[in-house]
Amino acid sequence: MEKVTYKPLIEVLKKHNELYNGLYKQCEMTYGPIPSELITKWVVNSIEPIVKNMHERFPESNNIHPVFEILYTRILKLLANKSAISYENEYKKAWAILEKAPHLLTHNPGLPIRALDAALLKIRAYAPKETIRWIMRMTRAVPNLQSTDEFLKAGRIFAWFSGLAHLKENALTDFKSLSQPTKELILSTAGFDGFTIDKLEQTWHNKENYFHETAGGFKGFNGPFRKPPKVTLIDDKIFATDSNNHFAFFVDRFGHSFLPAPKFEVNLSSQALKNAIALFSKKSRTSLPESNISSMVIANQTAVFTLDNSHLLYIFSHPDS
Amino acid sequence: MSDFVKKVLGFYKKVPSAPTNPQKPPTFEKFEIEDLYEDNSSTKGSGPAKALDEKVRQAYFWITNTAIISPYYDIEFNEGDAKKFIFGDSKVEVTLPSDQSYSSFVLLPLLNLFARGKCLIVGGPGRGKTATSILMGLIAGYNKTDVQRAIQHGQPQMTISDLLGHPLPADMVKAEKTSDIRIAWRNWLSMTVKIIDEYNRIPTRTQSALLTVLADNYAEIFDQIYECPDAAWYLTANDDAGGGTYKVIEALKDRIDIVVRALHFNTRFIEDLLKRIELNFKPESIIPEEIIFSTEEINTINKEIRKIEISKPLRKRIEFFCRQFEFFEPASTRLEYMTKDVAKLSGLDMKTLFRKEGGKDQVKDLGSQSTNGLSVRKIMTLLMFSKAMAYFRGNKEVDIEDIRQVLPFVLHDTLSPHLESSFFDQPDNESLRIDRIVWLRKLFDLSCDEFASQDLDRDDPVDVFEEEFQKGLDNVSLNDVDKRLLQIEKQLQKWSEEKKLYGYRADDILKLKYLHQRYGNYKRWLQWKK
Repeated sequence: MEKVTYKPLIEVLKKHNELYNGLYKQCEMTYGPIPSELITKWVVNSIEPIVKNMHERFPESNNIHPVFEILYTRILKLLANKSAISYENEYKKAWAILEKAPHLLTHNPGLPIRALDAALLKIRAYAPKETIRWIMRMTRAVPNLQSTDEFLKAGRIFAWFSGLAHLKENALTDFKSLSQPTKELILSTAGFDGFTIDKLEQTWHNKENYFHETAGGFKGFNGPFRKPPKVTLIDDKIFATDSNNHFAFFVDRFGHSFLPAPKFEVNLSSQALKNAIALFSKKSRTSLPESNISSMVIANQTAVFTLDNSHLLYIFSHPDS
Repeated sequence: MSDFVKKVLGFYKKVPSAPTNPQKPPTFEKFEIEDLYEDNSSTKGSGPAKALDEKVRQAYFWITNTAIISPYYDIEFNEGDAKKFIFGDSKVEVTLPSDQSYSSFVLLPLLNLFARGKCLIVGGPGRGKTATSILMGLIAGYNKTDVQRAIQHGQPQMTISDLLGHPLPADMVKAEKTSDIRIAWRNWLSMTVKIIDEYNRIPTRTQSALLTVLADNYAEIFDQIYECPDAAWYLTANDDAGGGTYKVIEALKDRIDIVVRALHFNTRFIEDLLKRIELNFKPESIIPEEIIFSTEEINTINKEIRKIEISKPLRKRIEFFCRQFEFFEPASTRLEYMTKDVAKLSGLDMKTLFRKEGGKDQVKDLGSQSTNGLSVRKIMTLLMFSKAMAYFRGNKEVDIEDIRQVLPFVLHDTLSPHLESSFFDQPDNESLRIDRIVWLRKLFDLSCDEFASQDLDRDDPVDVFEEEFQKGLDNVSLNDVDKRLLQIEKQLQKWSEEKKLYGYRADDILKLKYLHQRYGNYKRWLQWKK
């Protein structure tokens, strides 16, 4: 079986062996036993390089123990709930980010580690196909991020770029607060060189009415709805419901996301619906299947409509709105 | 020394090379942080594990065959039906065990060495109580002189200083504060085998100091603390019923994990005694090296013992047994406080209170046979020693017979019989008033019979609720929570229709109340989140 070879880490393991064994036992009592080989593999291949790199770069920080304890506790939990098995590749790559960011682990190491895990959970929930791309972007950017604060902000901005549209507002605020070199670093890492704040604020990249995508779907196919949904506007924000499941709907050029919302009713008069369809058809010079449309909203440069016989939301850019 | 004597002593030192109880090698692969950096091939895996449990068995057989003449096989294991014979007017049954069986007087002190417990050996003078304790010290790797010097002999004049150590006289004169006074600690405190001979002859005040060492593993004099290593304790007493010079304080008694009886000498073995006199043979002087354990080996065995599994059906039987005793209906009007503890603390006469428990089947109600319940410490000891027994027998999993054999020795001094219970008035049960070992074993058998008659292996409603709860509350919807709450209420309603309330049911009810509360809190949180 593989072994830890970095001597300062071995010293720490020996010194705190009672605590580490206790943490494992606590985990086993809650979740059941974890195969020894798995823990060893993760410690040797993922945790040791992080600790080693940090300690070699910043030996004066003297915090092998706190960093190891946090990572060890995390990996025990991730192995116990099988996340580190189902998403092994994601976690390996994500933790490799920390290896490239030893300077972030010298003070309050728990913050970036917990943030990384929380980000993975969120991105996997809202944009699972984008997880690896988010990790790659973070890996490229992290050596040049100077502080934990920048790390957290970059993470949020990249998550927005990955399709977590509900983060747009906060991500823009974060972006504005960054230094110019960091802004450029983030944009170039994401492949958006030359983008201005104005351009980022735009919901869509084109200025025409244009069909972009569908969102939602039937619950049986991993969608959020059991019945064909309807959309409505509340405080200029788009909401969608199938009368049992209620969501706030966020969409922009990078993707879309559904956030659970409290119960609300869709009160759309047939006349208002007709007016919205007419307005959109006129501007876009597109003919919509009027008889089938069950609801439609136009807001934030976006038009969204639903059909009587579909579990999807149909999304158009609508720059004039 | 003549060749003949050397040859004879060589025979006494012989340790059988054949496996004493051949078993499939166990495979332990549980994680420990040491796995990350130590070359643990010597402590993990099937090979060495087998070697160590085999070594423990070899030690046992060397003691019983060579060192201590104890031809009693009172810890019986059977494979299939054993032959039985009945003798005398009292119809005493003697069984010829069909599987390897053991002498409690040797085996339990040996298991205590590896379980790091506190073993009390009781019996009349000259029965080998101290000799057995010394042997355990020698097996743990100490030399004879050290062990003998380290024995603390209880006597009425024993002071705390005699027990723990003395302050240095020069410091007593010079010191300006108590923390400046250095203490010459007694050597025995640093040993991993501690022997207190005739502990019931120690004065009460010194017993309290002993209690601190025994229970909390440290000694204190003049604000100075001495941290003791984990140790196996052996205490001896001529009379466990308080017939020593001083009454043993309750707290000290409660710390005793296991009680072993030193049985009388079987006169059919006087020839062996004669040989020992003629050869001047002292077994403690010739312990074979093959059965001496290093501290690391004892630590490893201790870890391996803890890894022995107790299957769910067995655990449920232990739970069912343990929850019979604490419940005491006359103690309160609230279920939570209906305990023997509450009744005892009230100072009222327990016999009078027991009379108020009318209408229950006194034979079925096992709780009526004891005047107290089981402490957490005792339940943990029972589990640990059951594991140790399974380990000794070379098994990976505890067997019900392991529990059945260990249980009476663990609960011997803890579970006090309620001698006025009508259970003891039954014709076959009168002798159980006298012999606690047999009573406790019978008690466990009765509990297992009741468990089987209620078919709790297959039909335990609490299990269903528990399994559901163990899956966690993540993503459990409000509807599901409501359904589970309703199911709990329905089950409680069903139980409320039973006419009598027994100890096992009381714990079931409280468990469901607990689950109801957890779900209730989760429901409130869900509603708040919405």
